[in-house]
Amino acid sequence: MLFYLIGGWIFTFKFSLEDAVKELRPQLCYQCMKCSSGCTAAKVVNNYRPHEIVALVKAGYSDELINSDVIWACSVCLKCVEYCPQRVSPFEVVMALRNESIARGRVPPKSFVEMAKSVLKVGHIQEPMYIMSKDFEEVSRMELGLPEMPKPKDFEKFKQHVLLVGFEKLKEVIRV
Amino acid sequence: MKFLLYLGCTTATKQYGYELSLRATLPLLGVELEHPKDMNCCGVPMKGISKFYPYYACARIMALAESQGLDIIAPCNGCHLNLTETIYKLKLNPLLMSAVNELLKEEGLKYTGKAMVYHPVEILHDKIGIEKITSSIKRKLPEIPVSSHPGCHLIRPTEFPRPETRDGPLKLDRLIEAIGLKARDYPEKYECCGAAILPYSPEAAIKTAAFRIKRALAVGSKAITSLCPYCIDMLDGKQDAAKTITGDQNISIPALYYTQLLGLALGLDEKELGMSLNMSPVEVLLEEVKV
Ligand code: SF4
Ligand code: SF4
Repeated sequence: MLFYLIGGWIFTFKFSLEDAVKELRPQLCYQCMKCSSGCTAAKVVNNYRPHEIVALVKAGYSDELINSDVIWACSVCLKCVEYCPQRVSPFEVVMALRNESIARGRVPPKSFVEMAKSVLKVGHIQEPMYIMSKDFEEVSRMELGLPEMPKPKDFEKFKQHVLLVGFEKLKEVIRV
Repeated sequence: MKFLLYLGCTTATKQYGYELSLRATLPLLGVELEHPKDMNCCGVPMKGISKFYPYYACARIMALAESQGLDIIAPCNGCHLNLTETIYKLKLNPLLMSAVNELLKEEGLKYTGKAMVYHPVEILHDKIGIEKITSSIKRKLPEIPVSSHPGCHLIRPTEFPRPETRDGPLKLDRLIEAIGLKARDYPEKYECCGAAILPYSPEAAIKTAAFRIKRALAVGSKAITSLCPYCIDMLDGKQDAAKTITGDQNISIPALYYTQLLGLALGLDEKELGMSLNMSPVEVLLEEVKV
């Protein structure tokens, strides 16, 4: 059940970098570097420069990026989306590279694996934690009188759908 | 006014001060909050895993709200962005809308585009209104300079409507002044807190937050306030780590939710507002606010 027939159209939830590149058109980039000038991640991560990422994709070196962890450094601040005079959206290019690396079975940095595992286990990126208060009390939702955190009711169905919309490959490689 | 409170992961799993202060303040201003029985993550941190997951996840959340005939309050900037983007994109793309609904059908759900999503800043500023807030507060807080940190996703992207714009004063700043405090601009106001860099490099993320805090101190702000659990997690919860990483021992400023400040003005007790859960020196501010 990987695609749906809707009104004569076939819709698949399969990601393709080729389609993404067609849509995002990095070839329009003229290397003005506006994106990198304001980039939150570029200020603190040495080798992360969105204009370089766009240039590499434009020149056909996507594989190098897909095999590198650096694409996971973006802080999702969306400043480059606003700044780019060519409407390239380096942010979306980076997300497309991340999606492609997952589709090819690469394992993302550990914290992303943990979050994905948790989504497949409880439907959220993490479970409620015990927090240390200033009076050195360990408190949870219950002690604070907060109602239980809701989960998807029909969890098996939910999980099946999450796998279908793009978690299948990741589940295979991280073995959950 | 009744809404479904969709907390999202960060608020519901660790930023309890936000949830406590929302639950304590909004009902006093005539907003009834319904707790959902079935919910999932909005998918914002999972966008890199699959661009389709957020569409399914958010449509599911909106469909659940629709089944109860309610609109949603999403207190997290990330959730609010993702939910708005999904509504916008599904409405533009009927094929995607029906594909997602094919999945939801199997769970007995359907999203038609009727249910809407609001951020607390919209509820407070647009639905409740400054006038009602000023008339409901028990006492005006002293004119202490406080910097607002709205957070990226309240302002960006401009492709679809966001709660705040940079043209003119922020709603959050008007809300700060409505309870007596002084809104003090600072150079990092429209910047990113760095939270999403945490999974890649905690050190890089904390450096980002440290920089924001230093600039707020430099303009003489006595506190930083926000309505985003990621921002407060970074600006409040990471001050000790920021001291260690940057070696700057002066990084110390009360950072708290606007709803906590509002609660104080409404005469609520600091405990009810979860203020013992803030990691930054909020007691310094409490002292000044009490007099
Ligand atoms: S969204 Fe990512 S790539 Fe774009 S400016 Fe922000 S951190 Fe840089
Ligand atoms: S802002 Fe746009 S056009 Fe300029 S370098 Fe970045 S991607 Fe290229």
